[in-house]
Amino acid sequence: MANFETVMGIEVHVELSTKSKIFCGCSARFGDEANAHVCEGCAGMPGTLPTLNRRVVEYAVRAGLALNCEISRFSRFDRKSYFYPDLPASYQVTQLYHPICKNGHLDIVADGKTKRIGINRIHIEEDAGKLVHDDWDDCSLVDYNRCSVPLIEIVSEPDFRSADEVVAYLEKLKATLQYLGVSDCKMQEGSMRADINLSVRPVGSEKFGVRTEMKNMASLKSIARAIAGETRRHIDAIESGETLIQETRRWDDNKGFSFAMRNKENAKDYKYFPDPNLMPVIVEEEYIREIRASLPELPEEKKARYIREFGLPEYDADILTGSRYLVAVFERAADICKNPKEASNWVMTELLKLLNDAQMQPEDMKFSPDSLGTILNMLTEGKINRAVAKKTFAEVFESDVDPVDYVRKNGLMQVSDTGSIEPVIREVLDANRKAVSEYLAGNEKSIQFLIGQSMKALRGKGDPQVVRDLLIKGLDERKG
Amino acid sequence: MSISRQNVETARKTGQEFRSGAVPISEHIEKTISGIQKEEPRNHCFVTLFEEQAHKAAIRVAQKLRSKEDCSLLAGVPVGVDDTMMTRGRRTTCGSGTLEHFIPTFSATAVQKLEDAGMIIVGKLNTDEFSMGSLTQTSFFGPTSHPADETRVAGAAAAAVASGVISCALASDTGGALRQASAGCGVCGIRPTYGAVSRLGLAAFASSMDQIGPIASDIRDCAEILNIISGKDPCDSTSVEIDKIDLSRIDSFSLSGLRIGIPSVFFESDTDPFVKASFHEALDALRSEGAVTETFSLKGLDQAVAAYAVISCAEASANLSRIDGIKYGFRAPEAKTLSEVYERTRSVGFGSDAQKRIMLGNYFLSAERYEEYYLRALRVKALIAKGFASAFRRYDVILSPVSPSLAPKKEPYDTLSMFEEDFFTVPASLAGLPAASVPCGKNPDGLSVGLQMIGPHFSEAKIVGAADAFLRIGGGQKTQGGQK
Amino acid sequence: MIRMTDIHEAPPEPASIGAEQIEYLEQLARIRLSGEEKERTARDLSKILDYIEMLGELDTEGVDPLSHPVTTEPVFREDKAVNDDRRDAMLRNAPEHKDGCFKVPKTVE
Ligand SMILES: [Zn+2]
Repeated sequence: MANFETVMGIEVHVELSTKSKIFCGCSARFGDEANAHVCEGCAGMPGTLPTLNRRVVEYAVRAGLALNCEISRFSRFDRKSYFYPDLPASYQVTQLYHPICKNGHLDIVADGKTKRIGINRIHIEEDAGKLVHDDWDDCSLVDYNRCSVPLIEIVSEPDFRSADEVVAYLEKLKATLQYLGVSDCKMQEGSMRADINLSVRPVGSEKFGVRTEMKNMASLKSIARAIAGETRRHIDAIESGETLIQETRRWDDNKGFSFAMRNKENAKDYKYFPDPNLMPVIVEEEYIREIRASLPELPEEKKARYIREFGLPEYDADILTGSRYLVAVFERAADICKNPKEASNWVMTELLKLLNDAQMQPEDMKFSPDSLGTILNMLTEGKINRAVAKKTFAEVFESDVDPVDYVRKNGLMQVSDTGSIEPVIREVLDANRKAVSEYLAGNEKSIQFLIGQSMKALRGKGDPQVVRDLLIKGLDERKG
Repeated sequence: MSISRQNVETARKTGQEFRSGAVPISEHIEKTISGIQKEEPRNHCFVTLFEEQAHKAAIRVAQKLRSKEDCSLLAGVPVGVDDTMMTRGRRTTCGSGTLEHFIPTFSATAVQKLEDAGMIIVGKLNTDEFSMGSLTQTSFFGPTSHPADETRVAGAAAAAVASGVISCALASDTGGALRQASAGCGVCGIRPTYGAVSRLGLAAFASSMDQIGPIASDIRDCAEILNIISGKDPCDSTSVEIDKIDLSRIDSFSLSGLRIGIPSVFFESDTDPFVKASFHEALDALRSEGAVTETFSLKGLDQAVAAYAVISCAEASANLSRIDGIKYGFRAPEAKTLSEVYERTRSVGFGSDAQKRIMLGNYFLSAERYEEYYLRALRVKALIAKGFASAFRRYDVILSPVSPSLAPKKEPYDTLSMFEEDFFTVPASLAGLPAASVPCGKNPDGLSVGLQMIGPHFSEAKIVGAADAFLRIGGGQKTQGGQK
Repeated sequence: MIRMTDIHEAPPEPASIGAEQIEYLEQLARIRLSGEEKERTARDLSKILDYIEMLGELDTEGVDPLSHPVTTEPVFREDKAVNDDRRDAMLRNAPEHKDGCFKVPKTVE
């Protein structure tokens, strides 16, 4: 293994989060009933014509600028022809000859080192439909809902040498595109897909080995496994003198092996030519300037600012800025409670724990962005205690309850008036004579037990400081 | 007043009679449909008749006219539409077995505009399979008969107009079909500037050249219809706005001083003697009215048909890939696997001319040929477009015959000779220029030839003016030997 | 997946259509011809290609390929989802459909 080097390039397909499809007025929403978002245009009926969704160009340019690309003043659409049931027109509109963005780069950190990954091009294209296999009826069913949903394809240079680099790149890319608001990048829903081009060569060799492509990797974990598996397959072939063929393969994550794909992907001749139905896209300098000015603060700048302005530890700042969805929760909470450190602590501990327990990605969070800040304010104002705050936040996370309503309806307001607490304390002291005498005998620790009993009697709502003070006072009285 | 045909009322006159109440629309529609039905066994112009829908539309439009709603001058006038244009809820076959039973869910913009203007679509006209041809030779439904000679073929829209069953029609023109059809039947037709009429709802043959235009026995009717159907369509990215043609000023159009250019290769070509003679007579007639003619050379015209063949086949091969037996239309019933669905459907469904053009298109676009054929053809196209642009700095219009030969017999045809028939018409198609075909002679057998008038982009008004003036001096009525 | 290097791999062959090319074109076009049709088509296509050879007679050195003969203002659609659910209408012309989907013979990649 040590004598070989893996060389990889990545093509990432990202579905843009536009409201409508790229060339027609159908909704681009994910997850609805099959063929609910289909019209004559995206079903490839005769006589239909495409009209370009303005936002698609805007999003592609945003992505290009954030990835340090040159934006082409002139770009154009080409047809890529092949027959497959998921492609109703039997051609896909894409940009082969004149892509909208070229020559960019993205810096990643992997194995503790910063590395610059070249981006060869970003082009706009349309997505294809979906085939579902009906084993009962021995047929396949075609759903065109995803057909013509806008995509950008981000093509890297063959700059990757390890799975860690690939994963770091994909994570950074995902965070960046999410920040830009151009895509939700949900791998599990297919709105972000990666194809890996992989070849293996002896260390020190300048020449690339035979390249295979693995399509539509569905998660970062499976990508890492696929790279390891495919690298092994290449090395085995090279060492045993077998010939590798340049082809497209599908990684089977269960079997831990890649398989050559049939017909569609290995049909070589796509008969590209410019689509006569679409005019070239001309981008003016002024337009590029406007979009550049409207770009949001990107992860790196944000991280530096969190450390500088809020005094957050680098580790925390790094995790927070890794997802715009975490950023959104953090920034809103910090803004409401005016205590960035506290807000950060809550995101870093409570929120990450909740996400982890629920096996969710930050982009899947559904609760109102104001809720955490509201909870933290109630906590600082003494309206609730810390335990109730955590419990409330878990409810917010789970079912997006209004925190103020929740606390009120469930009677969780903190009790801190001595008039209500004193009788409870008296009862607790009366009922726990053993602990009382231990305390009086000098075992100060047993006060913890008595605090616990008192809080329990107060159903968790007691102000811990007041409870403690009154307990000590009561115990002192019993010293006699 | 045009004298191109006397036996048919102009569409404008019919419209006027509806508005004045002299003729009831319903009655006229009924007469039109029974006229079509009577002629159909011989002519074979229509693929589908919309009898019931036309009657309903007649009642609707009559109601609108009575309540003085805003209607066009052609409200109530029956019109035929080439079967490559979508008609919502009404069968649209594109002349192909693959779409024999296809019912579209939307109407072409041009069709919709006709109907919005109160015109009544009486039926769908026979067409070459997906417009691949000019004279219905490749239609799945068999060829249309020439009005003057049943043994010869004709474009259906022109034949229907020439035979008098309708006064006007919409046709499509890629390499010249609309102009060829008009010329062959002695009627008028205009292919507008590329983009002047929306292509939405026109089944695509070669998208960079496809255009819809009017055919009528009267050039002013053509202009009136063009005024209705033209205009930028937000659904067609290649569409453009053209000025409406002002017919009130057309009588004052003078041929005196009109600068006419004739590309010299148009004289050198292998053209039927009668076509040649008619063309020369037309030029004489124009000169006698003070027009100035001049020959000039235009680089690339010799290669225009070759470039057209490459571009049209390439685009058609991609456009017709959607005909695959999956979403609509014919699916070979015996197909068991996906490959069989594709291959059997397309092998049985398409006619042999369409198959050849599709295979050629695949050849031109295949990776190793793309540069050699497709890009080279686009370069020739660029030269031709440039040549025209510079010629139009010197000339108002460029003239030529429309077809090098008279209407062909109903005989087996070959794809190459069909391409060669388009020698005079493809240059304007490649350059996206507007071009009219007006009658300029008829031989003793009643076979007509046409004069093509090509103008610069957006010059429809000037072309119509020149054509109308030419027809006024009797240019369209010459027969061999100069008799009128 | 798009890669410039995938293009222009095979060296051009002479412009005449033989049995092998016909089969390649049949495969690209998804059209299957019978034995007799193959021969006739090869002959016809070769004739047309012979004719088209004349494209080479013109010097087009330095000429930019022209796609659109008439330049127009850019046309964009605003990003609005305006279409209703028209599934039934879209399926009405389908040769076969099931469960709101277009139905095809079992297809695995
Ligand atoms: Zn759609």
